[in-house]
Amino acid sequence: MALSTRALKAISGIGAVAVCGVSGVLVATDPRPEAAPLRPPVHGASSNAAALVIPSSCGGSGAATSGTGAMLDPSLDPVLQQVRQATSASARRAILATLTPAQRLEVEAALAALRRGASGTTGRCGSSSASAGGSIVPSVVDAPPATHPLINTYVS
Amino acid sequence: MNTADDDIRHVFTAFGGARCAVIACGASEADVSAVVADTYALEQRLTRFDPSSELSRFNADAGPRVHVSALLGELLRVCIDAYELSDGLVNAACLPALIDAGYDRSITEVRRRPAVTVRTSEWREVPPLPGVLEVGDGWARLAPRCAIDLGGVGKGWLADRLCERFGNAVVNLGGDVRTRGAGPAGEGWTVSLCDGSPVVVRDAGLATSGTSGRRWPGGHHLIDPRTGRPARTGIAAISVIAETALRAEVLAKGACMVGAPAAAGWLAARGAARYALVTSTGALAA
Repeated sequence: MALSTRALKAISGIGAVAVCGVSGVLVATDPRPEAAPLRPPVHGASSNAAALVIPSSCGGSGAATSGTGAMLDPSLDPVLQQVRQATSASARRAILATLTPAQRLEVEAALAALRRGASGTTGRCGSSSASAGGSIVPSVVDAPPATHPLINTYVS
Repeated sequence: MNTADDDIRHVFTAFGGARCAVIACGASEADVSAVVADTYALEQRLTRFDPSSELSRFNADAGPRVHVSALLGELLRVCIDAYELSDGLVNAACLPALIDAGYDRSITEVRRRPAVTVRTSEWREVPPLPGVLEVGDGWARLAPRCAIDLGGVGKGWLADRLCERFGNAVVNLGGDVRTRGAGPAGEGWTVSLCDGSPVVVRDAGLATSGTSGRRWPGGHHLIDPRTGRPARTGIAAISVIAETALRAEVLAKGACMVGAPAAAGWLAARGAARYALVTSTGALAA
């Protein structure tokens, strides 16, 4: 059966609308991919692990919290984006160095809030999945008794 | 690999005379100076001993919903996290109880003055934090007659943020320690615990809490939220190693509330990597 050019165009258009509509519904009903954000392994990685950028995602929520909690001064938003996109720890420090101490704290707080939202770790106080740079497991081994420590911890 | 020759070290005091230190490998003087400057900036903004600080103003404005900075908003959320992690044993709403116990000015001044008469009749359970503190995007609300003390939670949080700026560094803010990377010699960071034992850590947080630090005649700074009075614990000091300084701080303080006999199980249930404990009688445990 032969179809006219106009009929073929109409069928094609209807098909495109149908595909887009179904896709739109699927996306709208599943805004939070279960496996995202993906975290690259950092065990044994170089110190550049500090520069890994974890994308923000849906905000976490606790019993007494809503949203990310951090409302950054809009003038610092561009800096926040630069820091998030920096590809090394030194690059990130260079960006932060352009700020005052108070501004750096604001940006650090906003970054921490974004990480919390991305990992959904309310109540964990920085457990491995919420640390900057991804999943890092602490390593602890005994030092020889006579070892002189670099740092002492104490009740302050 | 970094060597001991290319690390930058700064030792300073902050948070009411607490000893602090930062050692960073492969970083510049300016990078490390920024750590010191940011520590002072946080102390200035969030001290409860300055009525003009952001925290003092937040406490004074208890009742209505008020605007908070990104920094204070994040730390208030961290306080709620700490409450949940510790099953309510680390409760930032303990400030009124802390003041009742005599800690109403800087620790230096508290220690200098004669013993205060503690108003024991006013001791009362600290209200559950999620019931009195609400935090949203750019705002927070504190219930009337409540007040927040960020205390060690703020130090632990900041130690984590500052250390995470580097690939290989250690930051110690008054005993709340965060390490990252392989240390100056590539073998890790050697730190000593409260019982004097040295350990080598990488990518770890470490904090020490106890009743042997900030104390004065008739009291100390660890308020048990279940009673609203200085904790009656058999622990003089406990060091905890965890993934972050913040988590270590919360676990160490919570373990103090739990007490020496139950601390081991309580810490194990929360994934502490290691701990060392000194009891009030001087006995060691780990």
